[in-house]
Amino acid sequence: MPASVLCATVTLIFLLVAALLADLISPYTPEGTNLLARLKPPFPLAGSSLSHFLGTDELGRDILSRVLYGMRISFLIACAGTVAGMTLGVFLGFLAAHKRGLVDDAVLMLIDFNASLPFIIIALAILAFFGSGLTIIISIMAIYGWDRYARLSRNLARAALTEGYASSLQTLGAGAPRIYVRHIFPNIAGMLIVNMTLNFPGTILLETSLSFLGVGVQPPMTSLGMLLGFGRDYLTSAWWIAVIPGTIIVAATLSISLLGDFVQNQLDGVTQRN
Amino acid sequence: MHYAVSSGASVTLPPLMEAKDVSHAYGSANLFAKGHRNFVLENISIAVTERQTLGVVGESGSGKSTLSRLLLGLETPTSGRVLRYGDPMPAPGSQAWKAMRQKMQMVFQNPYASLDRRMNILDQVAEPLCIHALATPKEAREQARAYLARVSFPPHLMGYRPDKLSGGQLQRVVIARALVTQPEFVVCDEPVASLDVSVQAQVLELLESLKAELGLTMVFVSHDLNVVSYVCDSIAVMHRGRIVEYGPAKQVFAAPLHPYTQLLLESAPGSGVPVMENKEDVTVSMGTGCRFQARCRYKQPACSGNIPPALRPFPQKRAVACFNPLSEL
Repeated sequence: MPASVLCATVTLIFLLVAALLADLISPYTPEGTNLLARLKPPFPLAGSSLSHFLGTDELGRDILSRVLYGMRISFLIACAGTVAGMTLGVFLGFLAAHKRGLVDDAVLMLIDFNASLPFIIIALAILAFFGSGLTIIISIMAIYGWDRYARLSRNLARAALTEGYASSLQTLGAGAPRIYVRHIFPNIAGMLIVNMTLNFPGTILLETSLSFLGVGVQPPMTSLGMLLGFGRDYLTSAWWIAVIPGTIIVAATLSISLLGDFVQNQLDGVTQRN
Repeated sequence: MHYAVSSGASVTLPPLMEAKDVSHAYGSANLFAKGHRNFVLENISIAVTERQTLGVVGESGSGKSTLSRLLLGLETPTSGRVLRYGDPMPAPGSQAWKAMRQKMQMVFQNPYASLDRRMNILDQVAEPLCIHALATPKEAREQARAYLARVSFPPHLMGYRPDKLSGGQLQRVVIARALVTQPEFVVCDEPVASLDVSVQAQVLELLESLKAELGLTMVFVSHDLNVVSYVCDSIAVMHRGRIVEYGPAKQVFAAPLHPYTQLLLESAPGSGVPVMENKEDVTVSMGTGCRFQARCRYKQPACSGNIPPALRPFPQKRAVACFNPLSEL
């Protein structure tokens, strides 16, 4: 395992554990203001104090606590969105492969439609219609990623159904649920996981963009993107408000991308050896 | 399922599988080219009687795989009827069709592709029993073990996944999986074509002994006449979607009637005769005369006439579709 991948794994585990344990390790509540300690810089800088290790914002809220809780929401949205997108995509992909004909054409058209529009426009339209909320945002993330899973699972299922093990199962009399759930899905799971890791950073960044624009997660909830968005007003006077959540976003997305590339290379190696 | 039961004393049982005047076309799936149809089988009539093995021979594209899919009921012919014990086949996907699957099995050409590479051998052989709810998972594994032993599959490899095994071993697995539900009708589609010559003989011997032991009715599809003549009772030679010669295996092999059969025999590996170049243009519409005329060395003016030769009976239960069968030359 290369050093970069090791580094990425350690970073990712560190961030995930920190986000999960936000309740236990954050020194303050994320909404707690302290007007006597406003715009404190992070630790070793002049005027900083150890009681606010990563500094405070314009209302004296502790940045470390806010980042921890923000990470939790961001990761939750990204994970749930990715899983929901995969479920939707794989279901539609299998449906297209199984039904063929018009259903197949319809799914392919939906895929092309999804791929041909800048997604941020679709997302803004959905938010404008339905308002914002955690469920809506997760649904948007699912719609963001489903097309690639659908294309992948459709093509792989079709290949298996025409030439491979799945067609032989059909002649054995196996029903569709058995073929798709017990055979095709485990066979394509590796490639789905690779696609997930490639999709995951995009999901985090999309959530960031939406929250930065003010249409994503709404206060009092915080997310990394929202922290970044609020911080931009103070970029010249108190840069740390934006830079710290920004750094976390970069670290998380970069780590996942590196890990995804590594997993993909490993799987390619396995396929080639076969 | 209903059978036409007759109380009469002397009833000749209908054959296990029968195709009556079957034609099959694959329609274009393209939305913008509907209506274009490509006939791969034309007016095929053939019967497979119980405990007999029918060999279907022909070069690639002759329609032999399509015929076997129709006989298995995996597809419904465009026209004509496929009968099982004289009854029409149930529609694909119906309940009766699913129940019928355990009685009709298939052995595939490429054993590696037809097995799930993420599931171990024993579970894959046991799976047909689970699909048809013929046994509990535990019993299914026991029976699978017995059938794997019957095809001489090494017991210590049963827990492995397919990618650890050789082609010959995998084909034994596929055969065991096809037989585990105790089918009455088995189609072997080029079962040895992807195997080494040394392994081919072993697998053929295995099929031969299983056939006798289990009383199987088989259709054996191959491009290799030598292989077919070894296992089969009768042979149907197919050329571009039609049966051009039919008869008992030994006689077809010893004295072919159709020039195409002769060509297949001569071009078999080891015969020393160079394979005659295939100059047929398959894209040309098939309208006039015999389809084999371009490659036929006995071609006569009548062969390019308007009517293609029909399959006509010959002594000794043989049939040939040729204006000038070899025995009359």
